[in-house]
Amino acid sequence: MKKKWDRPAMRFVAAKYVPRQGILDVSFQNGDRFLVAVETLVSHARNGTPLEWADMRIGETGDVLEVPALDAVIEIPWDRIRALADPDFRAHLADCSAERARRIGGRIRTMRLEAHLTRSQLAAKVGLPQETVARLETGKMEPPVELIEHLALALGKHLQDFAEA
Amino acid sequence: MPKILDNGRFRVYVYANDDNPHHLPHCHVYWDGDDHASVVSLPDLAVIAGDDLPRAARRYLRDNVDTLLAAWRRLNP
Repeated sequence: MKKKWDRPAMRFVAAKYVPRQGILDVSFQNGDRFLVAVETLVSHARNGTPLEWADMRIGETGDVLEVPALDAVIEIPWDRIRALADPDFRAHLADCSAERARRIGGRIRTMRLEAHLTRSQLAAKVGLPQETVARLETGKMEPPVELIEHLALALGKHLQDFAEA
Repeated sequence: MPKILDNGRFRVYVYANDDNPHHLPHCHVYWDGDDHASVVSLPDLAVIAGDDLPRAARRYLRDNVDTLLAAWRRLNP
């Protein structure tokens, strides 16, 4: 059975730093518990900036960890923890990415047809190979944000036009 | 707090994703205090996790999808 990613799966009930191993021990309201190496949780840019893991707390929304640093509070949302530690959630994200690519690809195709353009005409307009436009339209390529914006502009559309009503 | 939008009813956050293996552009939406929340992909507004979006929330996100994607790009260069 597919796991349900509902509010209890998002909310932390406990988060503890284990200094000797450099890991976080986190538990969620739905009963899941994970151990995560802290070095995997923050960017390389942050490495070298001391984070006060011992003073970490659960934020007021219940689904974000707040870790004090020298110059700021670093926020780690629940989905970053699960994306790293929970294979079921990682698989769910991969499914969501594939669905998003298909959905956006379908919208691009519809917009192109509404604009009475062939794939090669659209490709020429945006400076992409025709095969790339074909891969985008069929959801075989995850479209970067910049490319979605570029295509929307070329088709006389807006980013809003990619949103589900 | 990386709060990007707040109209008094819905609050929307975009986080820096750091080295997260999940690169799906998304935002976090809260309403009714913190009782309800969704994680929503951008710009298509599909719900990845959490509660279904109320119609008014979907409209609010749609109206501001440019701002949300700009925040995503700024925080996740």
